Amino acid sequence: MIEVRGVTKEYGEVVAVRDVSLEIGRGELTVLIGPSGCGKSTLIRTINRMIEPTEGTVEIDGVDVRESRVEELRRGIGYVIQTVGLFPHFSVRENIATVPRLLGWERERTERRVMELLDMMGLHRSFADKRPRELSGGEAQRVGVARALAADPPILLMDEPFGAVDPQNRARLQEEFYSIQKRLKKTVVFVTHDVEEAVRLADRIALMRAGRVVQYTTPERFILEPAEAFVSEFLGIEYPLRLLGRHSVADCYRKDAAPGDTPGPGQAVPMDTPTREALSLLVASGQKRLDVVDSDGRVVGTFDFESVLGLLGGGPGGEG
Amino acid sequence: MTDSPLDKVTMLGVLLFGFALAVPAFVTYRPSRIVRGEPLSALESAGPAFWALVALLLVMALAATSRGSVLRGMPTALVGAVAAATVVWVVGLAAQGLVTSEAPYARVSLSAGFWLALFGAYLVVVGGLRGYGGAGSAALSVGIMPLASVAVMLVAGHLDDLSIMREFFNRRGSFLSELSTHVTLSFSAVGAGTVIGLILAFVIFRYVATERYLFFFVNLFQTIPTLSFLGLLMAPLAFLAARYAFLRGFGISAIGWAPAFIVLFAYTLLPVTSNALAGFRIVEPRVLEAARGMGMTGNQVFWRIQLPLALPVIVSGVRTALTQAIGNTILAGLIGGGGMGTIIFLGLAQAAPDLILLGTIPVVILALVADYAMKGLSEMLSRSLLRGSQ
Repeated sequence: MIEVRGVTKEYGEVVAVRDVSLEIGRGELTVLIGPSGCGKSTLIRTINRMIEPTEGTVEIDGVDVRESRVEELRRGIGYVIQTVGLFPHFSVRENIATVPRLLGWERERTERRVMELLDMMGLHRSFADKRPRELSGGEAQRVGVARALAADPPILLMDEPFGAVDPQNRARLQEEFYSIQKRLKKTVVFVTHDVEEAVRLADRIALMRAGRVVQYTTPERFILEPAEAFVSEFLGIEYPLRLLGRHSVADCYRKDAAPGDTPGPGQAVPMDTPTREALSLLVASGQKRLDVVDSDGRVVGTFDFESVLGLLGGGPGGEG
Repeated sequence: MTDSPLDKVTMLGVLLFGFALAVPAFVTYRPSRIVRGEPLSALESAGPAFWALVALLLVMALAATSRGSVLRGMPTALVGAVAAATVVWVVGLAAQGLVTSEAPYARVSLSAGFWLALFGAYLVVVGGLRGYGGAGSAALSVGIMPLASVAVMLVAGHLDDLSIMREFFNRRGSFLSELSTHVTLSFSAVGAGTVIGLILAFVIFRYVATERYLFFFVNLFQTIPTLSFLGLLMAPLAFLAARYAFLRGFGISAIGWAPAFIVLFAYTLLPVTSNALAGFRIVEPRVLEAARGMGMTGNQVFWRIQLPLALPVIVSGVRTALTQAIGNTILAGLIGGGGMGTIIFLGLAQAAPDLILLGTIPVVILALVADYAMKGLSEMLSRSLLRGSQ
């Protein structure tokens, strides 16, 4: 668990971060979001001491980060930055092996780990011998993430890691990273200014403005209880729809079908359809409800507007 | 490749070459070393071999003026290289014809026509290589061919009757020892200057506040004219040598190798320091951020990231310093420090142009070779550092 307590960072007259306190749960992905200059990048850097706060403390599992040597601390925290910052004179293998080498791992163990990570990132093993210059933007980002994960750190700091990639690749990277994170359960602090990205990945979102955390809660709660007008304004009018992208029909349909029911004349939606798409189908069908079918084509329930409302309210199928 | 029917560089080379064959002074003939010489044209001195040069002139002219012909590009460069070698061969023949048993003390010196012809041929090579479109090993071999031919002629004794070779045979022993002194002096000064320059760059990089002061000194050295610098060192070195016997033991005194070494060393500092510093600073901030964020210590960031990335730039700084030092080492000859300067200044004192040439040519070749080698090293480093392994 990461505990940020009363952190303030001043640069002369300018206050970048103002008395911020956050508790970031183990295995959770917390997104720091806000307009540019809100202090999110400064805040994330206080965790691995790339920036020392003017006031306040950061603790990891109850230990002040200032208690260990700064290099030791950083070797235990994965770090991915927007511009990747791959070492141009290192091969992909050497880039990924950076921290294991600093930690003095044996060659074989390092090599095994490099291959494991290339597989995990969906990069062909032959990439190990390439140089960063030969990689596309998306490939470079994958290597950047692999490098951060190399020594299997419990904590991952990601500062706009997919910011420099084109939208299509970004969505792919987010998807891949999401499924990797589901498996690895790292404690991730993720900075972005992209609401869509935040909604897609976050367990919790800390919305920042002018150095302060305006609201820190789950993505769903931002709709129900926005702390101030700025919240809804920043998240945008489509935020609820975006939120639906986090869930599939399986999370929210009403289980009101009797065994053996067959789909009616109208349209049916499979259970694994993203809620946002299902809603779209519902609107397009001109009906009030759609049958939900499982992978065998059996009707298991219905999907209607109330299912959607229940989801946003943390209702029936919500993970809440 | 240009679309114009004439390649200007090649054309200029051909014109110079043709002019050189016509000027009255291809070589200078003197019945003995000390009397005034008389100029001889290429035709007068070389006899039938002259027509070989004329034939080459015609081929080069054809190459320069024919648009899109097979002669353009690499073949042109080759003809130029052959012409350069032939000019040297012809001048050797001329000397052999002029220095006979009736006139054993006669001297044949290289004159304006010879140099012009050589320069013209060089331009044809350059123009041809431009048309060929770049450097590479083919270009290198075209450049080496005339040098190798001259080397063969030297070994075979074809050029022995030239006055410059006479001067060489008269001082063979001292020539070789001065040459080795020259090389030792310039390389060791640049070596020491590189080490100190790198340390200075590192200090400035780490402690930016020192930049003003350190660069003040480094720049100061560079602004003192070489000769004045040697003069300025005399008093302090004389004082130190008189005061401390161990310094005298090292051979340090107001004249000799010590002041020359110090001057060459000081001149090395600016190019090495400023290049190394630029090299450290061009490493992108995001790369440094990543390196620190991964948990590298300051030293690890320097040795694993900054130094390797800066290496090509550093090598090109050393290249500047080395080329400059090889030339400047000539001045060591003025203060008893040895080197090719000794021969050159002797030639000046005796008004013996061939002796001056004998001292100068090796310096020029040495500087060119060092320059080329360092350039290659720098390019090789940046290639292997940044490009893929394939």
